[in-house]
Amino acid sequence: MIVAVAVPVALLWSDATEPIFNIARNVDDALGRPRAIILGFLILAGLVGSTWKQLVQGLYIAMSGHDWAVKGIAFTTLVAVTFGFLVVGWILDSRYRIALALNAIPWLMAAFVALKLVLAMRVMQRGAARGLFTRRQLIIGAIAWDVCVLAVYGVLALILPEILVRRHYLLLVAMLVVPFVRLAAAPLAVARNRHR
Amino acid sequence: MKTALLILTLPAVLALTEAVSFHAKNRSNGTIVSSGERREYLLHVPGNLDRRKPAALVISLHGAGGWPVMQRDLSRWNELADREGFIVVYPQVETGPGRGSGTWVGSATRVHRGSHRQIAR
Repeated sequence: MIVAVAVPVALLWSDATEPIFNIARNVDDALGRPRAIILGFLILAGLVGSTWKQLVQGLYIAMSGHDWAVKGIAFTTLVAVTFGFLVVGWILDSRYRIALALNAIPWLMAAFVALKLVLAMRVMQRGAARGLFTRRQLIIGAIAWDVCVLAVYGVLALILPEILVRRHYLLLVAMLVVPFVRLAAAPLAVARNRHR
Repeated sequence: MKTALLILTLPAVLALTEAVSFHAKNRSNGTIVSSGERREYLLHVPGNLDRRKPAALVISLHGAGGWPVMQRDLSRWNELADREGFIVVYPQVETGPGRGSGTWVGSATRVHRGSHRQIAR
């Protein structure tokens, strides 16, 4: 609902309608009508999914009930964004650094996926140890995450030709965008809050 | 618990399998050592080429983040080479920590030029 209202309003107020239509026409020419339509739906689904993610991914922090955790995360995010802009500016100053950064992207994605899986295992183990998740719930949760990851991967593989993008990069992207750890951490945070 | 963890790692295993399969399918077929670095390339020599006569050589460089097989399939130089009778080589840019940037820019360019001359010889 938020996306459905926000996107047209943002397009009208920013006078971006014409450039967006031009991009859409170029994408249509480059990918063909069916792929362009799928890409359009994927972008819409991505906006809706991203809005939902923004709403729920911070739940575990708020549910922990720790004032310092909420403030700490907000402060860390602001610091990271500020330094992120500085680092991006520093990289964009040099073609060599841009090339190095582009080359590092797949390795960074692989590192983040490894970190995500380690954290997911830790959260699942702690949740199971505290009796918050049953064996059945853990298995269903893992299967649901796999299905979502493969669905996102399938759509990406459909719209991006294999000749241009390596398939394992798409799988890494899918594993990163489908949430798991922060959602699974919410019950742990509530349990911890309850026993403070 | 173990079952859930195994299920969770399935996409990562699939990604690893895809990566291995990609590297198996996209292997280069030649190497040279230039400026102390081992450099890979994909060479295409048309089957009907008269090896007693000198032939033209086209060096086709892939774009940033690309690879030789990608360049071969996108450029389709091989089809023209088979028809017109010349040789095509698709060098692989050096990548990895301390080896290169994955593109044909920066301090590695001079070294790449040297390796291209060496491939041509």
